[in-house]
Amino acid sequence: MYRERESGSLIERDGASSVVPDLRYSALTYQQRLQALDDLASDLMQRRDMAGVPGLPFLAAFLQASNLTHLIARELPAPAALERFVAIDERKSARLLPKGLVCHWMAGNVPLLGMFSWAVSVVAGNCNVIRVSSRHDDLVSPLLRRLADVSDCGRELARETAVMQFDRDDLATQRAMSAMADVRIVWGGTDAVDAIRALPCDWECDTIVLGPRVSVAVLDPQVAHESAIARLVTDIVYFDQLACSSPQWLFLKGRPGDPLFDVVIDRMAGEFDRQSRAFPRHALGFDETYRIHLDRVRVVLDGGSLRRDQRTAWTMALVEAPQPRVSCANRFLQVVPFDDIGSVSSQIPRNVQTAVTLLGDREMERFSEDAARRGVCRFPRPGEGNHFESPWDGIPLISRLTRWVLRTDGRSPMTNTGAGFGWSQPIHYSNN
Amino acid sequence: MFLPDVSPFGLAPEAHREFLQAQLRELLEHHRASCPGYARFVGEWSENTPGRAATPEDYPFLPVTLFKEYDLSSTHDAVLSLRSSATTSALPSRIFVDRPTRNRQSLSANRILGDFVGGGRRPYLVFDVADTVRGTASMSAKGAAILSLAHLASEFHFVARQEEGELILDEEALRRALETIGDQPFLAYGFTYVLYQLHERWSAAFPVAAHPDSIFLHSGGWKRLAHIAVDKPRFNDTIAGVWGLRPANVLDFYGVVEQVGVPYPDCSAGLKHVPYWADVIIRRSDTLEPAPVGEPGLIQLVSCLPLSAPNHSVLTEDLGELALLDGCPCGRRGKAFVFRGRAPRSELRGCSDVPRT
Repeated sequence: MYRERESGSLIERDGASSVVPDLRYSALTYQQRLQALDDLASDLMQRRDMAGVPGLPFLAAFLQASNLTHLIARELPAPAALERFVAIDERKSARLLPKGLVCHWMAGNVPLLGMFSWAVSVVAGNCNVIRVSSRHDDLVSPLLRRLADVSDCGRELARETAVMQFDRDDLATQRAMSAMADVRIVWGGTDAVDAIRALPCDWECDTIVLGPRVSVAVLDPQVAHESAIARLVTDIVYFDQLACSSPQWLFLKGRPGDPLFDVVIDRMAGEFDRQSRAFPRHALGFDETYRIHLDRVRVVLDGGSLRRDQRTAWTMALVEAPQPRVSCANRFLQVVPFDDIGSVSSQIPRNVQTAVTLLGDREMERFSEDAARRGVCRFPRPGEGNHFESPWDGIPLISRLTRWVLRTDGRSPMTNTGAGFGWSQPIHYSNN
Repeated sequence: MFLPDVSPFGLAPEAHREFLQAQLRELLEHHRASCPGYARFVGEWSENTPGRAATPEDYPFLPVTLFKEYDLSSTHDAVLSLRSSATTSALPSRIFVDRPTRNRQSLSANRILGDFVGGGRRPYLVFDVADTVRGTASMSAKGAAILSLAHLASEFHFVARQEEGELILDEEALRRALETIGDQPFLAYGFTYVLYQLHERWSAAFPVAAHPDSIFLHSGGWKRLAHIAVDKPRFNDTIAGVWGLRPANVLDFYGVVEQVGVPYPDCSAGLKHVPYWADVIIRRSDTLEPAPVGEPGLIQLVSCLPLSAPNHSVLTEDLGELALLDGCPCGRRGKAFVFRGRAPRSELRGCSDVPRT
């Protein structure tokens, strides 16, 4: 037994066969889908009643048509192929079609993160099933209800998305959901990812794992103005470091005692204080609170020093090298001084995702090349650490969520009304 | 340190606080001067916690996990290292004990337990093997718990044996012990789960009886018993039933290896009392601020006994709740609390991870 919600209305069904929705491809055009999401973005930006939902401002900004078209253009030189065949060389045209039914498994305690991959999937024209944890509030259905209310196209898009809430131990429903997927998108920690990957699925089904990762930040006080420091702290404070994009370690150029270094630390402390009050943290479990105290003392006994509040709201631990057993969660940052940018890359963990970076041009060039080879997938500026974008985790999502169709044309492609892909050109991914 | 002619639970709350305040100030200075790690910890604490420690709640406290990871010692003359049972972390705690501390621990346990079971030495039945208390350099938590009753014992009788890694009743040893004890009241101790297991399987072919003033004490976790739906009344009935005793003669006491010498037995009202040379502070989740009566929180244990390691104020991973600040119907003065078990583990974080190097 599971509960399925469509467009926010609860439908009770039993039996795995009834899980499969009739829809696989969106009935709307690419432009209609973009417009519906843009309408939802405008609506969310004005809503006060949902202001406290973690990540909602990021999501609203992400759903804007201007952002989505930018993101798609980054990956596809001719987004028109999402609507029709477009010439890609002298004899070939290409068309990008949705993969079909995309099933999303959200991360338990950062539920809105999964909405980003949902939006990319929607834009590509797929129909979607979203599984939300039965142990957490369903924040997705209210969003779909808003979508259904904003326009007729919004209602259609909401209809093309089913939200299912069931327990992670409900293996029968897990298997049914996996079996019907054309693409599985899995967000979450190692246990969740392993469990879902182990579910049987169609041989053709693609599985996109947006799995457990960690992020860091790298800053040169010479180029870090005050607002950049405030934005970096927002990257850390937001989501309570539960997101893969939340920096856990900050590599800060200089040494304690250097005036610029100390200024950055002081400003960050002030920002942690201010933002911890402005953005209340989730209610910590006893073990999480205990862990903060334990990690603080570990740092001190190992020779580090602390900047912290008098309770447990935030902590900056100044350490010579990252302390692996110190858990950087719930607004606990390790700050590691460095003199030479070359020494930073070697300290980057294997499971890295993002390096929020603010360096001078030459150091940026050197560091990003080295760190990308170590596994870093993104180098956003401070304040953009948690801005979802594609590629994410190094995965070009639009490409993975579309089926590429090639047509050999009997006539010259130059007569085609499409502008042409310029497919012979390499595809460049950039953050600009 | 012990006050003459004052029973462990005889101080009114205000006098208790005054006593503690003076003791904690001395202990802080003592350990700061003797243990470099503790000195670093206190230095940081003072820097980030402005204002002097005006109440026992204001003094710094170490998380118990540290004693598994660091050798924190304030003595060069440790005679013993106490080891906790290795739990989830697989690492046992190591608590260094010197002779003066060991004497204080013995005296303390003797006074506290004496207040519950009465004075005078009695035969002591131990539902364990003698090896648990052997060893000169180190001892397990179970061994320390057994020995915490030693000063109330006139003679020891170990009545269990190991068989294929499991403790089973040594009927022959018990028969000999009971012959020696005759009709005197005795004390008995066992680890909670072991004691239950042995009594639950008690053979009808081996009937036993105890003097009505005999007392069974037990300590240790309830987790395994909770899994088989055994609660305190059923536990007490099972043990008392075998011996023909009243269930009230079965006493559960709470204690941790980081604070040996201060056991917390249940009183007749089912509460655990704090002797005047110790304190229990319940800390709130999220802030670690002291919690008021009735609010569950992490248990911080304070004891004025330890001189050889800075384990005089520790934050445990256990949950408890203050039941009252004074006026227990059992007649004991001061704070009383209830032990609620181990703090549950929070669900795993979202898509974040721990760094892998």
